[in-house]
Amino acid sequence: MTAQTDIVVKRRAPVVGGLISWLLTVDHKRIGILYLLSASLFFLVGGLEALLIRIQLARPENTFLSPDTYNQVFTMHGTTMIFLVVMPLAAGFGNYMVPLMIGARDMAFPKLNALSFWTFLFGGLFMYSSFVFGGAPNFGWFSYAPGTEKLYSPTHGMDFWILGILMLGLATTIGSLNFIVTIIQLRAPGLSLTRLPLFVWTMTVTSFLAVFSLPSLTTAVLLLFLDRQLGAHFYNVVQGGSALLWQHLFWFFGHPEVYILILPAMGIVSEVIPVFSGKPLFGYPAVVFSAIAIGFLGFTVWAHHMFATGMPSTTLLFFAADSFLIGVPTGVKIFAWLATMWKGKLRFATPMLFAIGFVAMFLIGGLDGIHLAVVPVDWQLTDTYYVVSHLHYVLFGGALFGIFSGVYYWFPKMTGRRLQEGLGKWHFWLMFIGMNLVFMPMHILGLQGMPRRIYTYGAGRGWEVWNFVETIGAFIIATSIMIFIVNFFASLRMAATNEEDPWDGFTLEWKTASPPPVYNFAEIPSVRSRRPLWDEKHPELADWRVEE
Amino acid sequence: MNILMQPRSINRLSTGSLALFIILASESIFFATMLVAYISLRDQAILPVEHTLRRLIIPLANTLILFVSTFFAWRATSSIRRGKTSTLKSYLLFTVLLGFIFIAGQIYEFSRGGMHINDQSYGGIFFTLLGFHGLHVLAGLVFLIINLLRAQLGDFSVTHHDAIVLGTWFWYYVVAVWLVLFGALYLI
Amino acid sequence: MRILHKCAPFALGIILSGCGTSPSFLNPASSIAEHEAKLYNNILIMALVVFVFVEICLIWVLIRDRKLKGDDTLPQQIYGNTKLEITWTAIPVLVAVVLFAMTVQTMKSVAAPAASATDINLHVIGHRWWWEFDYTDLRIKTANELHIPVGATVQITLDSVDVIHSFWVPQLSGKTDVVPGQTNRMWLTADQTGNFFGQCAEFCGTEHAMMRINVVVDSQDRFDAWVANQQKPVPQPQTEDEQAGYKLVSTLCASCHSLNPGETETKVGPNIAHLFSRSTFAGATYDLNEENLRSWLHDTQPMKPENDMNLKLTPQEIDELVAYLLLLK
Ligand code: HEA
Ligand code: HEA
Ligand code: HEC
Ligand code: CUA
Ligand SMILES: [Cu+2]
Repeated sequence: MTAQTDIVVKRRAPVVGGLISWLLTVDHKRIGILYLLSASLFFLVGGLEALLIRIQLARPENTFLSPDTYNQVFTMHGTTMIFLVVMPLAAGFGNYMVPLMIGARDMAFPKLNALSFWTFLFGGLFMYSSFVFGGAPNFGWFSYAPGTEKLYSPTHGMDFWILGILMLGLATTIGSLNFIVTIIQLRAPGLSLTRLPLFVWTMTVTSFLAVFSLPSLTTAVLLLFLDRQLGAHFYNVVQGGSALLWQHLFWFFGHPEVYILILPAMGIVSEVIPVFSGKPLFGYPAVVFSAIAIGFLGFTVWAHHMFATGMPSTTLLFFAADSFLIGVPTGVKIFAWLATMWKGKLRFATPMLFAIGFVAMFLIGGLDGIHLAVVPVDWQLTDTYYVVSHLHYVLFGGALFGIFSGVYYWFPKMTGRRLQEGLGKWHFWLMFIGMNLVFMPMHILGLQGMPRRIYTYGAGRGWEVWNFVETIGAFIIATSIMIFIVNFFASLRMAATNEEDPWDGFTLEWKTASPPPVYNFAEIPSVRSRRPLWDEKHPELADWRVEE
Repeated sequence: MNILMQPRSINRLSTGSLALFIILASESIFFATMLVAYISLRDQAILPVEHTLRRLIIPLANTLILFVSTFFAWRATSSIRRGKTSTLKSYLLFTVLLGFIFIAGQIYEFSRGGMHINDQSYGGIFFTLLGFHGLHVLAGLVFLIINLLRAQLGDFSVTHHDAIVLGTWFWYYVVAVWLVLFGALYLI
Repeated sequence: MRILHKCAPFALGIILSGCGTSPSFLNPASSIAEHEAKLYNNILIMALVVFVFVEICLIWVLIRDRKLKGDDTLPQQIYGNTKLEITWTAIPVLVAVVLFAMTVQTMKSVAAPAASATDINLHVIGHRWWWEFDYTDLRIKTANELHIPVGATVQITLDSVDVIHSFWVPQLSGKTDVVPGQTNRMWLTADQTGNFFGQCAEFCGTEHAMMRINVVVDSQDRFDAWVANQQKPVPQPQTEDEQAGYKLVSTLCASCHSLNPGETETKVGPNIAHLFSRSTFAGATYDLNEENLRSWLHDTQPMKPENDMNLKLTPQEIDELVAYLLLLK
């Protein structure tokens, strides 16, 4: 950065401040932060709901929550964690980091970007307002018809859910469109697709998944809305409707959705592990290709959520086979991360701990997924706590660990301060122990025949002990989250160090100030390899010498 | 050079058309899932209305109208490519007029009775499909009318007319969807 | 001893499920559940092999390759290794093929036998929130408590009158959803006598948790006796209270409950012709005794909130009703 451009830059940087400027902002970094903060608040709410669930289930025949309240709580817990936590957290990092990582000044459509955020926030708050207006949605995060028809779910909860989902879907579609166009159009010179950082790649695949899967959800909920409001009969079998239509439409979205949730986290992990190993990602092309393969295969496995619905066995076998196959590209990633660490010089800072935690825990969730894809086994395990265990190992041990890795990794970039390492390690270990205490016994409960979504259970089936252990685990997780919150505010109150590149990073976001100026880069960097900063720091070992 | 400018895109594709293609791809999935719903419900429902030839008259006429409108939309784009703003305006106007005739025909179809959205699941999916297509036609018309107004204000030239091209693409898309729906709802 | 013998093949399962007390398919009571348990066990072993292998590699790398204090040398920059990458793509593909073969095989083993081998035809109807069991050939109907003879092949059709439910008795068989507008099929068999716990496994609304099943597997003799009893018409009321009760049932309750054991119509509530031949009621969630029945008739809502039976009865009516209902053995 030459002195001359520095001056120009200073003069042009708009003077910003105050709340209004945050409300009106179209800057990708501020929108990213807005996403991250609002999703974090929703996380606390969703976590609180999880604690309510755990309190209710701690003892058999507990009466802490009424049946209907319990159903509202687990519905909102699932809906919140998926639509209002993991998706917007990924969108937040994407917004903040993608333009920085590709050397752009902003997203392709800054105003659409703001629109997307506000639609998301409004959709989320709208859904939550249902608690005040006569009851929240109460039919689970996948709201199977016909239970959601007016006849069986007469409160307005489902209507709030439908409209909320439509808004959130719109927000995500706009956001994804923006990511795709940004990544295709605004890359810095030399940053070819074969050199894109992995996080950018996974955001690309995620965005395509969203754009192509969300319409199916839109169709599903629109038809439900017409049933409920205009008396149509799409899901009403008495009038020629179909009960399973909903499930096909929902899961055609729902399975790609779970990869929408995991891929950004995989991207983060694929950034963090190389940096903290001091090595390039092992087998970059294979890892990129595996993300794309997951994207495609993700559209062909949806009916593995419907193995018990009475489909012909050839159909069952097709979806089982596809589900096994999707383990292959995922395995490629796991092994690539291992090989990246192999013979590295590993630094166990908190971002790395969470990334390693991701690898260790996601593996469990993935292998559970394979169990569930085995049709006769799924006939026993579907809709039991085994599935609940699977989904938390991949979502909590996977997506959330990846996101926390990103939080610790990029916090210095966003704020100019590192999060404290000591508290960070407490956070990690307590969370790690807590999550295994909550979610490991769920395997056992599933095998012991405990169905999911039950507000109560009788004593004497061997379920009491494990449920109690889980509740303790949940409070350990809660403690770890409190530690994180303390760490967050304590670190913010420390003097800024504004290190540009605290972790000895590889990618372009570390090439600019921390926090970056509004325009990101005084001079658009040009790129010759996958690790532009490595090249700069080690010209004799530069990647481009190898890649070219 | 203004250093705060976005760097130039490294692709030749225009940002607007890229965005439009992605939106249309997404829309296609929307219509495709609706059609799947239609096909799966059709066999279970008792059709409330027979598709006699007489009922086909308006949909057929509407198909013809849209066909002709694509011709005008195409002419509009090629006019501005050659810089002819006045012919651009008249072709746009014809397209818009035909679009409105189409909408009028659809409204007539909807209102002439015989079937309702709550007549079995079939009535629901029939009207939902046509309704959402109708909304897309309206969106297309808004797009074209804005283009027409901008043309009136002299916004377009040989080199600068992305919006015209995008509007035309959108219109083609709306017509293509109609053809599919026409085939699915009336012919098979 | 018997249980231990059954459990032995599922060593892992025992540890995990506390074989014996839980309604776990790892403690199978039928050939179907046993096949499923075997398959689960084999896949668990495969998964554990993958799991242990990966985690050991991970821990080993973490220990060996940590950066030592004062070591500022750069690690060797390794970009990839095609042979390795092909290996760890190909091996999982092979594993997937094996998994597929195992799946196909077990699906064949648990497939329903031919219709000619049927011993009992059963029609299961899901209601919010109780189960109706219609023995179509025997012309008897019961609720929540299913009786079958040991060793018999029971062919089941499943229908729902409202939302989606799922029929599941873990120790006997996997789940089959009960979908409105679609008749699903499954089959059951049991190779030991006893009571087996089951539960609705698809979320179906407020009382999904209280929609349980009690399967009673009897010897053939006891089953035949049970059938003979079920087929009997309801007894005539004798005392004054009983007669009053009978009158009340046929006026107040008959719209939802049938007193005809061979009733063909599907009613809103369970068939109560032989109510007291059952040991539980209300979705197999409460023991059926006079006290619980009284509290049920007094007000069903505290016992099972939002269930569809909503009555206001006077204490006297309740006395009379109970007097008669107690006859329905
Ligand atoms: C982050 C989200 C996420 C991810 C990544 C996954 C990943 C997978 N999921 Fe999961 N899934 C969910 C979220 C996710 N899932 C949720 C939320 C539900 C519940 C929805 C609900 O009902 O509420 C669910 C439910 C669910 C079901 C339905 C269960 C039921 O309701 O009956 C099934 C069934 O097949 C399944 C399978 C899989 C498979 C095969 C994978 C695979 O992608 C996993 C691949 C990974 C590995 C296999 C591990 C690493 C690989 C190796 C080490 C190589 C060796 C590999 C082989 C041996 C093949 N999932
Ligand atoms: C990303 C996704 C995600 C995450 C992170 C979690 C996190 C947790 N989940 Fe959840 N869960 C789902 C996604 C997720 N879940 C989904 C999709 C379902 C299925 C829903 C359905 O069936 O429809 C589900 C269902 C589900 C169930 C099954 C309910 C049932 O079937 O009846 C249970 C039961 O124990 C559970 C528990 C937990 C627990 C204990 C946590 C914990 O890890 C939570 C930890 C977080 C905290 C404890 C927050 C800390 C908060 C504080 C410290 C309070 C501070 C507050 C203020 C300052 C206001 N979850
Ligand atoms: C509006 C319909 C309705 C009426 C009227 C009604 N019931 Fe019920 N009853 C039900 C339903 C529905 C259930 C199942 C509740 C559940 O388990 O969720 C039920 C369950 C029962 C049960 C438990 C049966 C079992 O095996 O689970 C008994 C006993 C019973 N009712 C008795 C009566 C009596 C006695 C009367 C008349 C005084 C009566 N009911 C009137 C609908 C009704
Ligand atoms: Cu019936 Cu759950
Ligand atoms: Cu899935």
